[in-house]
Amino acid sequence: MLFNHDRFDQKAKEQQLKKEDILVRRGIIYDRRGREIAVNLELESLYCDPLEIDSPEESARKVSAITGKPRNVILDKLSSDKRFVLVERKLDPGIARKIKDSKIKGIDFVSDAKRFYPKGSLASHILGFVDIDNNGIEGVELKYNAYLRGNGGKVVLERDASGRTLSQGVDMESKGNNLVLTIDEGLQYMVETELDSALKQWRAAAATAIMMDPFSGEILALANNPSYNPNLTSESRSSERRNRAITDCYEPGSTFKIIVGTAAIEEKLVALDSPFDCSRGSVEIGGRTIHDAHRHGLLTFKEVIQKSSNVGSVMIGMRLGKERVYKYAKAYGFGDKTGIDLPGEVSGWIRVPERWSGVSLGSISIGQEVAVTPLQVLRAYAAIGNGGLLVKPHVVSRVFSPSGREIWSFQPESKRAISRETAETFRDILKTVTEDGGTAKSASVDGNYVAGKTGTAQIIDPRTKRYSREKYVSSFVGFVPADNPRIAMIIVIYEPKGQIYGGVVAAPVFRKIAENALSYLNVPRENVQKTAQVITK
Amino acid sequence: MMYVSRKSMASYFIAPLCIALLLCGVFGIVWLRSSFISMEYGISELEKVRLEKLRETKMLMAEKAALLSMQKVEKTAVATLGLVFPNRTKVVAVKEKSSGPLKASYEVTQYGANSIRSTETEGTSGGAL
Repeated sequence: MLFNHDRFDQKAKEQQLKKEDILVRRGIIYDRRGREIAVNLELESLYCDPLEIDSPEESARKVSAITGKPRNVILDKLSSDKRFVLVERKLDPGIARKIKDSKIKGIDFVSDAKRFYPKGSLASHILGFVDIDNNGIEGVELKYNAYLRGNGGKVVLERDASGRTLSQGVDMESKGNNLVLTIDEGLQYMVETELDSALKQWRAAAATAIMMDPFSGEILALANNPSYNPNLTSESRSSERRNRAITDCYEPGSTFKIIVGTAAIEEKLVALDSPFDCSRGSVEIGGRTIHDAHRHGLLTFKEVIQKSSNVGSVMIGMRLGKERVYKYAKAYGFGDKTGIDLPGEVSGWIRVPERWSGVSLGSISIGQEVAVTPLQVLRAYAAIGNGGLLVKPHVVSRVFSPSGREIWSFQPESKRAISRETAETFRDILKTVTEDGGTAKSASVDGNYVAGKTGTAQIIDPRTKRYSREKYVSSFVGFVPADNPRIAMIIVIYEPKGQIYGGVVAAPVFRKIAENALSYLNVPRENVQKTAQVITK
Repeated sequence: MMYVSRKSMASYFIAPLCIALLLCGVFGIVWLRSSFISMEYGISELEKVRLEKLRETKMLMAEKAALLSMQKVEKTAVATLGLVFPNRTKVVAVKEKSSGPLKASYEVTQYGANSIRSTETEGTSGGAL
């Protein structure tokens, strides 16, 4: 005992003391109403000590028969020269039970958490997903990984000769912080359902919809189709996992007329009844002829927007000049990221005026030669609805610890894009778009006024590098109720077949979602004269 | 007369007493240590039970969240219970304007649909919907 004391002491400690990892459990993600949309399942992972296994071949055969995994793969692990080899991670409880019942020597289980999304594919592009080690790969799982992931560590435990652990009451689980999203599960479901219907109806290549609170920037719903189930990411394609709402640019078409429209009002270049001669049906600029989809006659400024006249918009743009058009485009945030708390956002682009060609002023005035994301367009229109402020969109409202203490909450940010007066004036014009004579009567909602704008833009054919004659992007963006909006929403349908106009393809989707959403949010109808009235106390 | 001095009497007891105390101390220490170890075993077993219960709880929570998904709720509501999404035109919004009696009447309007008309007559009450 007196000899080699240190060596034997060390050996005794190695036998007696055991370092165990503290189980790290990811925080839970809730929607804005406290419903769980990302949780953890406690599963078990199978490991083995190859030196303890009597017959690796027999054991591998048994495990392979139960798990369905290739026998040779399992045999390799059971024949390893290491002392701890993970054989299979995160086993289904039924399979784990069968393996335990088979009483194979040399194998045991460790607790392992699996991320589970109980709502399936709902809000998949917002949530994202995790890898096998529960690290965030996409969405808020990635963006807020540092908050969600608990702090790990090791605990030293004593064990007896038979290997039983003597616990000192140390909490072996470390929980990450929880997130509360701005998303509403109910609204998200409505948006996804209608988007799915629209995609099928128009046999479109893809579709995107975003619903936002125009005053706070809270994203109430964000959906892309095609979509995927984050519980089954291995079965999904990258095209399904794309969050087109923020990662894909498109030429916005007529929805970009908000720039020249509001700029002209702000710069006091036009009055609502200022006349624009669109009777020719076309206008020449920089050697290019820009046409109207339908020939109009003499239009007022208000009608130019209501009827979405390209000729009238180009004329307005020419009055403004390229410097001012660019200035207001930047004021609305185009060409810059919105700063939404999701990974992968692109800024889109708009060239600086020095690089504009002779035709650029005309093109940009009608929403060509610019690349925007659906979120950028929505934010611009939300500014019209909220009195001229560009808000910062976000999907997470707060982070709180497992004990309920708030760790972080979103602080609203906004900057002024245009004056309140201009916003209110343009809002009144946008209301006419969904009325008789406008391009989006199909977006009108019974009982509430809708303000919005349609967009029908050609897509560049990658083979010819020219605008395609068959492929379009149809969109509608608006807010309702117009005078005090509760929701702002954009619908973008990529490559619809059969019809191309935003007023035909996208606007009805807006209406269906808006009607259900206003019911869900208990927004009263403004016009209740027809079939019901309001009871007052 | 023989005197047995107190000192010698005491000396008979001191040594055994000391030995007894020593033994008690040793046994006490061993007993305490043994109790600690038993408790640690007990805690370890209880932790296993706790982890198992935690596992079940999390499974149940996940199952509950999945069952309460909008898709399942709608499917059950529509397919099983025959419910429909409410028509917004048939929903009446009630605004709280001021304290006082609430009066409403239910009558057929010229539009052919039953509607609820509001009145704000003082001192009235009742009215059937």
